[in-house]
Amino acid sequence: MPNSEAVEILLVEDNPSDAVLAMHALEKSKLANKVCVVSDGEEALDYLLCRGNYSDRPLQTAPSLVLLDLKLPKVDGMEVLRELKSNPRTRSIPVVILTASKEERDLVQSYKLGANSYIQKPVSFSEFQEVVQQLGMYWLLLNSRPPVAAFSESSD
Amino acid sequence: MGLWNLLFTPSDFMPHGYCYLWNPGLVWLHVISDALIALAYFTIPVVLILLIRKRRDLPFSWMFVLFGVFIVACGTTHVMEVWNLWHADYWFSGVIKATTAAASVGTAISLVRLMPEAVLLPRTSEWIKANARLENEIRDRRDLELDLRISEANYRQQAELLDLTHDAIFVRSLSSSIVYWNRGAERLYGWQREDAMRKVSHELLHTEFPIPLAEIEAEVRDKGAWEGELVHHRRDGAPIVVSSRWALQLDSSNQPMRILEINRDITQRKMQEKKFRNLLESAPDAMVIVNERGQIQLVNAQTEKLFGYSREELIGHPVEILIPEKFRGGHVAHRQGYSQSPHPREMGAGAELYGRRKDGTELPVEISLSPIETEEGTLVSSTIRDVTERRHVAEALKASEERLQMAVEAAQLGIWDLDLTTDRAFRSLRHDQIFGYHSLQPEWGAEIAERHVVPEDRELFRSSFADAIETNGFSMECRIRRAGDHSLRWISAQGRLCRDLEGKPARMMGVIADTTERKHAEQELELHRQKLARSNFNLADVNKELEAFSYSVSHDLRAPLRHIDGFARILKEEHASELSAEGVQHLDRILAAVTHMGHLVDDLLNLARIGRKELVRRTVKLDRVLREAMADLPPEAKERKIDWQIEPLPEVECDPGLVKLVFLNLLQNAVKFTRSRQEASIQIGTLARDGNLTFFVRDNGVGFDPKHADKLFGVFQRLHSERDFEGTGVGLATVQRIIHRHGGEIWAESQPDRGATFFFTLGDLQTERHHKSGEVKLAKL
Repeated sequence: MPNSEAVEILLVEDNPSDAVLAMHALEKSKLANKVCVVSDGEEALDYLLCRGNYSDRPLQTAPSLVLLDLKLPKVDGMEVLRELKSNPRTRSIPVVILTASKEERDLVQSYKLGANSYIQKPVSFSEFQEVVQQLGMYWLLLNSRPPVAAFSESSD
Repeated sequence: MGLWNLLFTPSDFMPHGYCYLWNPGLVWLHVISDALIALAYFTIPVVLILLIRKRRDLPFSWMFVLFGVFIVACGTTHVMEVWNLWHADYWFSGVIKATTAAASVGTAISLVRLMPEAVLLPRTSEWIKANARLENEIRDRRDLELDLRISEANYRQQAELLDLTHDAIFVRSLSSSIVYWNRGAERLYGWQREDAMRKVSHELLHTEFPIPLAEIEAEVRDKGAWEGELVHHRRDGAPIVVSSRWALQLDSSNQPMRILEINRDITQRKMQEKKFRNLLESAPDAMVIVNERGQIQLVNAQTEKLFGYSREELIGHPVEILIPEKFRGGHVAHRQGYSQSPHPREMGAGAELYGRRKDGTELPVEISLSPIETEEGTLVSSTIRDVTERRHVAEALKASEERLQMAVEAAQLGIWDLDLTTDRAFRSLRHDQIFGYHSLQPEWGAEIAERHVVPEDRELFRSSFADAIETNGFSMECRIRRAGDHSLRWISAQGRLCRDLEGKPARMMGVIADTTERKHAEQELELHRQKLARSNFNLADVNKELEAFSYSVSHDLRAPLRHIDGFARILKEEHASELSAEGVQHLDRILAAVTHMGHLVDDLLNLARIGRKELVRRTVKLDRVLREAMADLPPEAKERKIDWQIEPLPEVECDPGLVKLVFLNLLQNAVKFTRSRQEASIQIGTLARDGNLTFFVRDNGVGFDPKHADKLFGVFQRLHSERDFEGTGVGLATVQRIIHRHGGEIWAESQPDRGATFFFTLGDLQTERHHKSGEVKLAKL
């Protein structure tokens, strides 16, 4: 696991094969050392809200991107998304839904809850690799984020 | 001294007695006469002096003084005559005489000078006459004073009497200045006599005149009197209506002197009159009051409205102008008959009466008459009501009844009308026929009807009737056993309760119908409905399962595919050196199989989604939908040489997203199956077929054997090998599903190697629009 300060991407993925493939794709994009992988919704929330196993993690640091699967054990992806986007401290963290589902209701629901993007995992690995590379390029290099403090201080 | 001596010194003359020879008789005659004359002469001035002193008004008083001196002088001469009889003082006597002469001459001259003035002095007779006249005058005046005193008393009495009347009476001068003001006026106007006196009456009372004051005054001047109604204002400002009578008083020389005004307060009466007038005017009916000669005396506004005449055109005219010409003659006789024995009654005794408007049109009316006794004789008041509306209503009712009768007959309804007290009912023939009789039964009632009802439904029948008393009506269905063939029939019965004037249930009226056929149909329908509900229930279950299945497919089936693809690719790209060439080939096959599997899953999911998705219909131009589909074609479509022949397409109502899929699939197929053609040709257009606008997509590709046409639209059904033409066998199944969901049809015609044509319609709903658009399209071509 990399140093939490270096973490740029939080990958929430319960399927180990998917996780391995994702990491492989990230490695190709030279982003693998900046990734933290958690395997269920609860752990993802613990990490982002600095509680449970992650209570030592400093609040000021937040990843530049959360890649969130929807079908997750314990707390499912929608619930994680709802909680992140309703909490002022985590609201500004970009969340990209990365899922196998092509269901319209999932798409609509995700955007209603404030997802920043929605991507269906392509069957083809080469396409997947390309998607991961573009995601890293956009959210880590092009996108500008407000300082975490600006949000943690807000009273709402 | 000398003169004195001469006068009074005894002289030598002989006394005068000597002349008389002292004849005593003669001497004494003279002595006595002279003495008497002297005495008289001395008396006269005394009287004159007294007179002057008492009557200082006498003219010429100085004449009396002069005369007095002259008389005294004369008297003195006579005294001297007596003296000289014995003494001979002739000088002294002469002086006296000279003095007397001077006084006499002076008096005479004065008298002569006084003469012209003295002539003018009234003579005594005139004085006497004047005196008599004066006395008469004095007497007259005394009489007059007496009269005056008497008339003053009368006048006061009359004034008091005037004060007693209720009328306001005042007298005013010609300049309208008030000179008399009675108590009645004080009471009526609130102005006290002192306040009113010398005021200008019209100003004091703020009089409102019905006609210009000048006209009234002219009439008063001409005729001596005027009568009319005025509005005066009380001291507190309140207006009062008075009946006013003016009378002109003339003086002895017939000149106008004063005006007497008698005013009676008729405000109350006026208000009552106004109320009566309002009542009359607001009456909903026309009211016409006619005198004994049949002349109209009074009409109300409704009369004007109803007959189109103005009030002026009616008053004073014979009432017959309101009656159609053909009835006028008869009416005069009727009218005279009525005036013989007037009493309130309806006119016409039930016959239809008509009035005549000014424009000659007639209107049906109802008239009631009543006599009014007045001082002008018996008047007849007629109340006229326009019954046009009522006649219309009656006619409409009749028409409506006829329609109802027709409807009842057409609907094969039986009618019944039941008297609740006697339980006897009137029915139509159809009613009894429904109960199985050929002709009307002599007796019918609720009890008899109940006997026909099957025992199971009798309770319902009874309770429906009983409830109707509460709810004023009922509607029920029950089974009866028909008379004659004893067949079981369903009847439906509706009834409505009629109450008498006291509100007690009196009658029940209604209809019955034989509903056996309908009942059977309903029962059948109900069976079908239940069956349908069951199958719908199953269908819903299936749908739910399908949904769960497709969700699972999209998630769970795709995951292992992804993994196989991912790891196979990593293997191939990063570990190819560790594999034999054959091993790499196998990896390629694995990757191809995974890709195909991915397409299969996607197509299947699409198919399932289309099956349950709601259609979103919009009116769209199909040209645009087609262009969008063409833009999504694989790159091959643009790279190859294809002759596209596209006709203009109409505007239709459809789900554009799904119709786009139809075009996309059909065009993909056309592109795919013309791949072997050097000159591929794809045609898209419309044609009319059985009145339905039909779309077609035609290619010059490899085509298919028509004997397999039935397999064309089945899922996973393929007419070509995967080796020749790739595909999942889901595309046309999807197309057919979309077309069917629009209510349309799809079919294809082809011969092997001779190209294929796919036809489709989008349902009947668009037919009309298609035709219209088709015409436009033809015109363009």
